Amino acid sequence: MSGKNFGFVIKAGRQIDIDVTDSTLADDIALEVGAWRACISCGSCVATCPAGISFRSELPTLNRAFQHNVELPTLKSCFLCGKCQLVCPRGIPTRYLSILIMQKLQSRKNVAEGIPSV
Amino acid sequence: MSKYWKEYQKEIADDNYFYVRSCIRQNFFPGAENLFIDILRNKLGKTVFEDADHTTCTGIGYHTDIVPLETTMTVVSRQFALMMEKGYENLVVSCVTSFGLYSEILDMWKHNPELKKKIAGYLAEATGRKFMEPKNMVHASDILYKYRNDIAAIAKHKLVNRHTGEPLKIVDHIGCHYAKTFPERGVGGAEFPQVLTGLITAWGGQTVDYPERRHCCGFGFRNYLVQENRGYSIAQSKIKLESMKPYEPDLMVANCPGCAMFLDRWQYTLEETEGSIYGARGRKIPVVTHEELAGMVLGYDPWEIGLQTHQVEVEDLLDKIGIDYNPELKYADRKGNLIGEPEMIQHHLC
Amino acid sequence: MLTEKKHTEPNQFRIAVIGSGPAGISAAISAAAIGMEVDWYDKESRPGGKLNDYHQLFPDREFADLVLDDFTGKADSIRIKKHFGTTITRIESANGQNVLYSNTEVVGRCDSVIVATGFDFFDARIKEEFGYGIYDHVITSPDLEKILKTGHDQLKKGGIAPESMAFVHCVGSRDQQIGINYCSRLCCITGIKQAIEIRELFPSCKVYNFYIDIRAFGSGYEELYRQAQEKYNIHFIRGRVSEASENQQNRIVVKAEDTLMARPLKVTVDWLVLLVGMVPSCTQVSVNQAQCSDPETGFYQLQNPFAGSGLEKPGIFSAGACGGPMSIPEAAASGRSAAIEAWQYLTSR
Repeated sequence: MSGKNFGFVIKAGRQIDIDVTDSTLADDIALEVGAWRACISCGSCVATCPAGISFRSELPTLNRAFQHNVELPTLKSCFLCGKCQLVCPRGIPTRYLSILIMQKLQSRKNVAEGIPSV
Repeated sequence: MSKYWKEYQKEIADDNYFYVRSCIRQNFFPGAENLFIDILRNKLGKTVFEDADHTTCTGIGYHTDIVPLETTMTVVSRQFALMMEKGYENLVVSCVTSFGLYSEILDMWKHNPELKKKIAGYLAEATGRKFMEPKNMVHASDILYKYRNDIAAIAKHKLVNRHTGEPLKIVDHIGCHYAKTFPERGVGGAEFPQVLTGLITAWGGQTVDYPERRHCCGFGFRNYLVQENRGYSIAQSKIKLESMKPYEPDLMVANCPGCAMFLDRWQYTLEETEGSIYGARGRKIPVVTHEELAGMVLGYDPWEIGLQTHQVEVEDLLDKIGIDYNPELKYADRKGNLIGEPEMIQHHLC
Repeated sequence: MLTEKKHTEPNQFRIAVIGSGPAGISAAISAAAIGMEVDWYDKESRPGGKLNDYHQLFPDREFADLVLDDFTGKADSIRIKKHFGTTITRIESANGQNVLYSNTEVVGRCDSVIVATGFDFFDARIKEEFGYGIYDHVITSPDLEKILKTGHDQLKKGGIAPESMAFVHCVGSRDQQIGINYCSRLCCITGIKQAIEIRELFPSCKVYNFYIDIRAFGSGYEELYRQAQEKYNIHFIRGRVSEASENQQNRIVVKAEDTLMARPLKVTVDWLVLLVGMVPSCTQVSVNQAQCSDPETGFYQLQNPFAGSGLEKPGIFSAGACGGPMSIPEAAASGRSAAIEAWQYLTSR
């Protein structure tokens, strides 16, 4: 590939291709917390989050646009205050869910890098 | 395919056409418009008039916000006036964007008679001409569609692979401005257009209905005219090319200047920048216009009608159809003198 | 001076009920229960209307056949005279007497009429971008209902269960392009119910519902929506499908935007189901040459919706979905209500 420069960059699409979505993590999480799928994207959790996390947009990412290399970096700043859980009209245990998602992501990363689980 | 298409048929005048050329098609595919006139006059026996006084429709300027709408309308009303002065009332438009622009203007006048009156005033003031509207207005591909069976009856070739006996797999691409703004002005409407598939099937070929068939080629004047923005343009062509690739099409046919140009040229660019090739067996997919497609089945000399001016080589395709050509004369002028080969040619000949 | 009130016996009144869907059946049953003589018309040769083609009913998944049997059983009354296979096209109403016509032929006379002519499904071909009528694997919700009723194996290809299916909400509803601005109300819950049925029949099939807003308004509807999300893992994607096309495997490629993620999206499915809205029936009956319809929606216009279901002409009442999108229980209630209103009208005129 010569990679000749014509003075512009071919824009990569932003399209989510559900056909190649990896749903194993979502299914994994649903085994423990089935309720998380009942999210209606009302945004209450985002509005009250002191760490600036958009929990409601991480969930569809996990559900539809997840590939093994996708990270959910904003969840890292969660300090488990629990306010989101308090305001959730669907009764989703968001506080626990936050820990669970990060744990699952980390253990997948560990497996990929050959680090033994604790 | 579905009968539903039949609900989008339009009135196409049967003779006595006033032809308006495109600004850019004469550079992109210099043989195509003359070929169209020749087919109409000498193969179908129709009367076609061309006026040396007709000008650009200002479409490119209009779409890039350089020419104000009222100026565009005045220029367009002058084209209509020229036609009526010469005694014609059936306008045939070569360019899809001009066709879309004329349609849009006629629609605006219909809904806003005040505006129409104002433009008639501008026209009289600027040129002294009388304001008139065409009785029938169609795109050049509509005429070929109307006479597709007559062309098939006198055709020398079929769109069939002579080695396998299979119909050629042909991608049709309709310019956005042909029917997306006014579906009722396009044969087959906007979603399942019939105008080019009508030609393809009447001449023995087979249409490829691939997922991104209705997607824009990405040309878009704003996208293309600014160099940095061309990445948006090529990304759209790439979406289409990726989507059609598994079908291994033998060729593409497009009725719009920008589409035919960019589906052709961007294949070269994509190969240069990303190393991607979208045709079968490591070859790119030739792109022709509706007139050139008609010219090929009617047995015109490929170099006479300008097929050598396309970026993707057409020789493979000519061999498949069984069209004779002299490789020696590919880059010869009318007197047979060689005019030199394009610089990049060795690279993209796969 | 006091006038002596006429003593009225119910059976001195003849009432015509046009239509035999849930609203028409309920109207006929109620009118007969009051004691009026009922002439019951339907354009089809058997009663039940569209209920005949449904499989299970939302939200509790009763079998439509059982519900219909229950309805028609109660309609076996000596006071109800069935005139099925007769299409009433117009009513001429004068001096409290109504003449029913089937085109030019007079088919009956009565004191009051309840029109319960129902609705038609939106013709999905009009939304061309979905390719209904072009692609074999694009179907409508009533098509799917028939498939579920007559054998879901039709959804398999070469004996193999579908891998994925998508439902498009609001096809022919809330759409200015086609001049239908109203919400058909029942398509959301139909989509939810059918999605659940698909997940039950084919547990490995992924199901995507593309919606603008989920309007689960009825009793038990919201609960079913939540079950669909949580228990059945149906993917509800907020965004309207903009284009459907076919790929080489004859599967349907769907383009939409996931508006909650603000990203365009693509998914390939084995079947695309269009949840078609409700439009006025093409057999809507005219009264004294007038269509009596709401200029916005085309459904029958009630003279005073707060007061009852009477049309502008006294003595003529609307029941069920010919007056606007309605669920089966609502249509049945509306039929019962129309019968009582007709009785009140006849005894007080």
